[in-house]
Amino acid sequence: MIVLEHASRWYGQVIGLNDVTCRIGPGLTALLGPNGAGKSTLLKLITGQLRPTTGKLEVLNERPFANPKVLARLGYCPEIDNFYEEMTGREFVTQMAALSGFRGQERKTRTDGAIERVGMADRCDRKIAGYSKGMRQRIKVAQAILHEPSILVLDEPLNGLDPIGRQEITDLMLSYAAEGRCVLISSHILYEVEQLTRTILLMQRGRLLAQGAVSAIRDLMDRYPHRITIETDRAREIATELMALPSVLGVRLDKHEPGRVEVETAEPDRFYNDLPGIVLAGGYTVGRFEAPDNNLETVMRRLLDGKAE
Amino acid sequence: MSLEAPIADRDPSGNATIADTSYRHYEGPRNLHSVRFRVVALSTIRQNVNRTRLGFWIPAGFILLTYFIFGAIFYVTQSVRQFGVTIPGDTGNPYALTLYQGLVSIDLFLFAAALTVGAGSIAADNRANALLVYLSRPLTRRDYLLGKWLGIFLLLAGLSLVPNLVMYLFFLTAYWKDGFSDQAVGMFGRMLAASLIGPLLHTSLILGFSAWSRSPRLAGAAYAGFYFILSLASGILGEVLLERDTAGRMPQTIAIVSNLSVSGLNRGVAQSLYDVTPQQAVQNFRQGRRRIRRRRVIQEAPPNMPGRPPLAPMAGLTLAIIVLPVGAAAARIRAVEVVRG
Amino acid sequence: MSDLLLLANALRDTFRPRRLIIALILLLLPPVLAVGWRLLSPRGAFVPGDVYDSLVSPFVFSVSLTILSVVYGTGVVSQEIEGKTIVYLLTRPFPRWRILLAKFTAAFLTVGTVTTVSVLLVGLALYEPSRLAEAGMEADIVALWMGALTYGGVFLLLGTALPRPLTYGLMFVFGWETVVPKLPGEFARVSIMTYLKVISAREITENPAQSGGGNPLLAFAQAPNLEIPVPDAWRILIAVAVVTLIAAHVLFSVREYIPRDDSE
Repeated sequence: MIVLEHASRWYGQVIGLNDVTCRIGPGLTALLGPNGAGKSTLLKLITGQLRPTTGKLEVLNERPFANPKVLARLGYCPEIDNFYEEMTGREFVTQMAALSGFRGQERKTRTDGAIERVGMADRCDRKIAGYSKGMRQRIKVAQAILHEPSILVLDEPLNGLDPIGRQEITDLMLSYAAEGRCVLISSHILYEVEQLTRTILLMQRGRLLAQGAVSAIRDLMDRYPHRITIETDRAREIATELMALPSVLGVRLDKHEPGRVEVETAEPDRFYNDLPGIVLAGGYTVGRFEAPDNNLETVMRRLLDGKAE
Repeated sequence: MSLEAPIADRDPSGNATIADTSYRHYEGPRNLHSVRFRVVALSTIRQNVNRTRLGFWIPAGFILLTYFIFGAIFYVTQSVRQFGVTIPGDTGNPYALTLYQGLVSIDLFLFAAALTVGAGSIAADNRANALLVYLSRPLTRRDYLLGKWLGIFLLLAGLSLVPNLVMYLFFLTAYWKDGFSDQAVGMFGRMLAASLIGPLLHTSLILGFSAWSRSPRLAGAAYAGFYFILSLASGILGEVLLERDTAGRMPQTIAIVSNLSVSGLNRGVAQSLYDVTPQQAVQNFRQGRRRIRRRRVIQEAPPNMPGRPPLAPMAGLTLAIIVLPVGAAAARIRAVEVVRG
Repeated sequence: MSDLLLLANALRDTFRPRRLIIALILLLLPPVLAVGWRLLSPRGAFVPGDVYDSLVSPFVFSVSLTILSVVYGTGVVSQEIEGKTIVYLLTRPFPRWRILLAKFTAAFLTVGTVTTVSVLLVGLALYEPSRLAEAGMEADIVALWMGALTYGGVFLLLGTALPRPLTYGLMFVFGWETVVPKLPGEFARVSIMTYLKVISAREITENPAQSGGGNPLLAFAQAPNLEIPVPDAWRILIAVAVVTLIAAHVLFSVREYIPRDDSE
């Protein structure tokens, strides 16, 4: 649905996006990266606010810049916290509905529906100037979804939301993705992104570092073996047996926590296949089992550090 | 350095309250309290003095051009005088007159520069809630306001002072033996004072408008409206009174009223400082005519214009216009944004 | 229908109290001055026509019309950029030029209405209702609307093209439009105000040296001696309005607008 081929964007002498090639399809994709990585630039290109300086960018097989056909099927929730402060939430969403081409009763229905969906029905007739951050965020999401877009682009959508709000918006994004729409979110809150999706686009300094499922990316990172932690009653014994496995690179015992064994392996899938047999045959009691490396934060940190080197 | 909360910040039991403001009295390795405003001033100056700020540099260019034109006119007329030719309407001190004419002519450009550097000075901070950040530092509202005022003033004063200094130096070097030596010292003081009136007025006013707005654009528009409306209204009122005063009983009142505007105050005070009259300054070589057309009847009125306003009331008004907007700005600056409705 | 809603919202935005203050002052000040002039003038010396001309040309035309056109004309785009709300407009499936047209229409209607009401009030302040026709306001009102359109087009173009259009607009109005018509020769032909005064049958050329000391730079200026036929003036004003409006709409449709923190 979104295709970039060697797309670059320059701001004068500064590169905002550097030779990015990727495809973003249906489902929920997270756009990650440190500050200045080019995430905002990428989102602005996709939402038709900017044109690429070089390369190709297409959304739904068309160039998105000032293209009503594309924008009719694209919803954008920006990161900015600016509104027409003197308007009420309802007036604002109504105006956006009008700009989306809806008229009369349909405009009203869609406005009410979007407001209801983001949980602002009881507060939408107050001026936006008096809204809390969370309420402003909800109204932003409402204006992005009112026209049921095929592509939903959200920049930091969970900013300022309380836990209930986060859950509601998260459920909304997941339901959109489940319907086959393309949902692209940019976020810094890694543990929440992890709960939403395992498909990421990782950027740094305008370049695309990695794209795909977190686990697949992790598997490709040969330089960093997986670390797996097991808490058991007979740590030394299990450590001896695990050392014999060909997939295990190293085993470490913690002198401060006697029941804890840390295993390093370059073939986690093979290790996971072998481990249950060893545990059952030896009658070990496994109190806890962790794979701390198989999370987004670790993947990101190692990719970014690796790139910085 | 005192780490204890001042007595005023303690509850009745003598325990320090949550809001420990002792850091405000910190006088350690950091800058002294008295110079914190410099940081704000320098920041304001740096923001505005860069190549892309055309709204500042274009008026600067026009100011220099204006003084160049007056310098050239002076050179030509002075050369003509040296041949013994009498120029009609040529009265008064030519040096003072030229400096005055230059000063009055650049007020519009100073206004434009003030809009550029001043309209967003506090309004942009209001919009971005930056005052929350500023005032959570060991920086008082006074430091903030003084720093902003000083930053704008120094920029505008530079625009006004530099060409005046150049003109003065031109007189000093080229006409030392042609009568300038007698008045050089006094003229320097007068030039210095006169060239700072405009920047003082513009700085205070634009700061006042900016403090009361959350939009730099609207602050600038409001100041522009104030500047031009007051200028026109005072001119019209002056004309009305002039017509009414057939017996010539209120020349000073008329002169004051005619100069009740930003440019008028600048003009009025400068006239006293340079000891020139409006009639001399304009050097109108023809009989002034005011034609009221449209009804196909042309009436010719005799030349009539207000005289020089007295210095004391003009200086008082100028001081009031400098001080009051700053007071208004001070009343407006606060860290907490109050939202109604 | 969406255009009408956009227009209605833009008009409502224009009439918010803070934004309306400048317009109200410019609307009311000329009639207030007219009343003051009438009360202060010596008996027998009060000629309504003279006072009307002395107020409408230098105030309503040269200050109210121009300032309002600058503020509202440049504000169509720069207000959205400054407020960072332009992103909402540009990411909607609504042709950009229609957004601009709706917002410009609101600005044009506001400027035209305020200046028209101001002129009407000046007339009512100076003339008896039965003698109102003597003021000849019709030509002025038509010229004011044309001026709102022409100046509006120019400043709309400035607003779409430049990052800080208000300052440039004010310099144009109070620098160029003030000075150029008073330069010798045919320079007055490159000023919009010249043509507006032609279509309003307004030829006043105040001696620039006489207004409270005046600007010495203009002491050498002479009243221009131009004869511009009224049809030519109309053609030129319409041409300027059409060209600037079309250019502004085209530019807005193809240009990238990113909110700036240092916007005006």
